[in-house]
Amino acid sequence: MRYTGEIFIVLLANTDQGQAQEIAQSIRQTVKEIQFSAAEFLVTLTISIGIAIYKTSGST
Amino acid sequence: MEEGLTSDLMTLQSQLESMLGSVHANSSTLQRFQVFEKELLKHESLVEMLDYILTAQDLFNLDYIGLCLIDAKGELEYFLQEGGFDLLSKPQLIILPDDKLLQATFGLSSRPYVGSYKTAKCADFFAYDKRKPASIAIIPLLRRGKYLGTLNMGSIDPQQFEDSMATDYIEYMSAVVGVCLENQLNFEALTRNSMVDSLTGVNNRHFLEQRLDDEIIRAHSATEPLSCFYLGIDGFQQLNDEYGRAVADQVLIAVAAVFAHS
Repeated sequence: MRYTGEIFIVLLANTDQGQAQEIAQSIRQTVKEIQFSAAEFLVTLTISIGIAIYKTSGST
Repeated sequence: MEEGLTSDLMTLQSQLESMLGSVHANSSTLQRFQVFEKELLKHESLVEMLDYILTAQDLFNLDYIGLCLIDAKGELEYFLQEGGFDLLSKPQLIILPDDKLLQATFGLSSRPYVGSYKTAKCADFFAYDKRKPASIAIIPLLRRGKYLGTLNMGSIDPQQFEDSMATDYIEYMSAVVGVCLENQLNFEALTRNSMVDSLTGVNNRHFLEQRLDDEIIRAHSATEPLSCFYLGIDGFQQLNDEYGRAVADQVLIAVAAVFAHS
């Protein structure tokens, strides 16, 4: 979901840290491959992702 | 002379009895309509309301009640899915992509079709699992001159619906169903739209605030992990300054599309 400005939040149900990292990496990779043309320039995008996990066993 | 009078009297009596019979039948029909209408107005969600309509056949002593609903934008299917409505177990709800079938059936008049079941005309409206209905009514649901769909009723009794019968009740019923349906659809659309970011089409912050607690509770009770990541576009401000807002918006749309589809 779009949080504010250029910040998005992705909520993943039933996903542990390893899976979340994999998904985050694949999104990062896909975004990197978007060749964005603005005016006569080609823009390459990069994004930064921070992950948080809620574990039912307690600590996050 | 006296014989003539007695016979007149008996004729009158039998006419009176038949009229009284009609009055009773009408009054019981009216009562059933009132029960139906009251229930219909009570429901707070689209799914609840549809469930009620689709199981109301016993209330009206019918063998079949179904709906055809037009869903040009796929919104209805989305709302039903979100509301946990099982389309497969309710074949009497037929979703149509447009109003072509209804235009072909009703023509310009938009009058209900009442009478015997004719496969060529009726098959598209009925998904019966047991006996084919013998007599049926297909009533258009209209709001603001546009078709929402149809209400379809069927009976194995060939006399239940006859083309000579007055359709006041069923037209009234379809008007009530139409209003209730439109109201519920508007409500769902409004709730949905308030949770979607209009630029990117992904859910917005309002959605997160509404949903986060539910998701945490759900993950907790199901002892499932719940992950969340925070995703920022590098140098977005610079991009905005250098190429302008239109380009920046396109970038947001492109990035949102990546994770919306993964």
